[in-house]
Amino acid sequence: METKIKVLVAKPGLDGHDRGAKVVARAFRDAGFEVIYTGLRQTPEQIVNAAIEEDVDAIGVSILSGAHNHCFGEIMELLKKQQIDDILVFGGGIIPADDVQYLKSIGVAEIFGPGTPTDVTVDFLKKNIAGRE
Amino acid sequence: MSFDAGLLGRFLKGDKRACSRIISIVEDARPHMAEYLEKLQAHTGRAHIIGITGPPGVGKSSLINRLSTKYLECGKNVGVIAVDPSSPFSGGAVLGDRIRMGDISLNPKFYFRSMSSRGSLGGLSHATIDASRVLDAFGKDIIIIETVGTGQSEVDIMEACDTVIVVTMPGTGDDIQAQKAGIMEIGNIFVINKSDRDGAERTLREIQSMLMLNPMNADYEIPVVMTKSNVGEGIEKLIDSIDAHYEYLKKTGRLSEKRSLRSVSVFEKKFLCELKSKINSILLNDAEFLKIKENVAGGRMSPDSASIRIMEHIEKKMFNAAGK
Repeated sequence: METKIKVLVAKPGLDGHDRGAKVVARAFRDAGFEVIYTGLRQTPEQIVNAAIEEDVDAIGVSILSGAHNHCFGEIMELLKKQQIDDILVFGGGIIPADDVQYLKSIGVAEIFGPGTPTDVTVDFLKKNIAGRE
Repeated sequence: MSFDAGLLGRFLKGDKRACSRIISIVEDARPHMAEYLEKLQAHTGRAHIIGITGPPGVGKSSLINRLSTKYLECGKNVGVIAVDPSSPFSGGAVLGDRIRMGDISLNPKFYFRSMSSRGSLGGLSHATIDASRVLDAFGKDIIIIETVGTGQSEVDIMEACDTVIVVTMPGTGDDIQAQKAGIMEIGNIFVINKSDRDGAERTLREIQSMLMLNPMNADYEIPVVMTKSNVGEGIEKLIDSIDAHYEYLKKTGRLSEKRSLRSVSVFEKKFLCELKSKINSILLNDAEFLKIKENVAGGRMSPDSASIRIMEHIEKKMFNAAGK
């Protein structure tokens, strides 16, 4: 039996800055994770559908456009609607502290701001995904 | 974790999440994998399994988007398994074929699953055939398997599929590349994608002259299709070729022949895998094995005589265990 940590790295919204998402995807790969990269401009529906089809442990959302409250809100709502409670949602991007608090209140596990060493994110996932089943 | 009859029930009712979970069980070889596959077996055998292989960057994923779009328009249920390579260092992977799927990803009749090759070198992962069995049982009419970007010798796809499509593009080598053994031998259909690029005609001639020398070509003529997947050109012709090949397989009885071979090959691989883990468990902390290994490391014994010695040792150990 060989279980890998699987993470969907998603880029919702209209901004095309995916350098951060790609750096994080690469760090996950080097930590032995399996990363599914969705590409740019994904809708929340597409992101949740991809997470279901790929049976991932976590969804990492990278967003720099300022629409984070809306995007995360919709993703959390869609997950709730389908009664999915075993996928960890986390994020990265330029997100003000007040909004971070709000996002955590709707179920986002953690937000990693600019300058976060990739090790921190990797360790967070290792610690919080305790190997399904 | 016990066998979950509810999961199986949801799967048979068409629940996508249940399908995804069963593929994960198969991919990770989790407990009860054999039981799930056993229960699904009766529902398999209906899908046409199409393999797409070729070098990195020739447009395999974009072609799959175009093919799937057309099949969905015809009312077909389509499943895709796309394999990308794993890292030889960390074992991790970045799976990026989903990027090309765009709008069709939300079509309820479409299912897309990425897979890491997990160290396997034949272009697929160990679990790819089993995952295609799961999608077959899930009611897919068409299953498309995309290999990792291949070089010359990754031919596992041949066994996994009914119809193999080898995709290439202009300017990938001279005529001797087309004559080499390996991947150029396994195509039932050839596609020259990006055919608006320079040298498309020449690539066409080279593949055609390679095919003319093909002795297996007697009762089925292997088509070479020119496509431009970025604008969707040539896709209908490709679908006609795929259908024609499937008809040919059915008419000549080769389809059931191919599928029998596939079943036997899956059986042999599973059984060898079981055997390997059995032997690993026998040799775990085995004093003789450790001693032989040390002797090989220290240059006191050749790897050749060591492997013969260890086989004798295993046989003796298994025999003793059976005698008890």
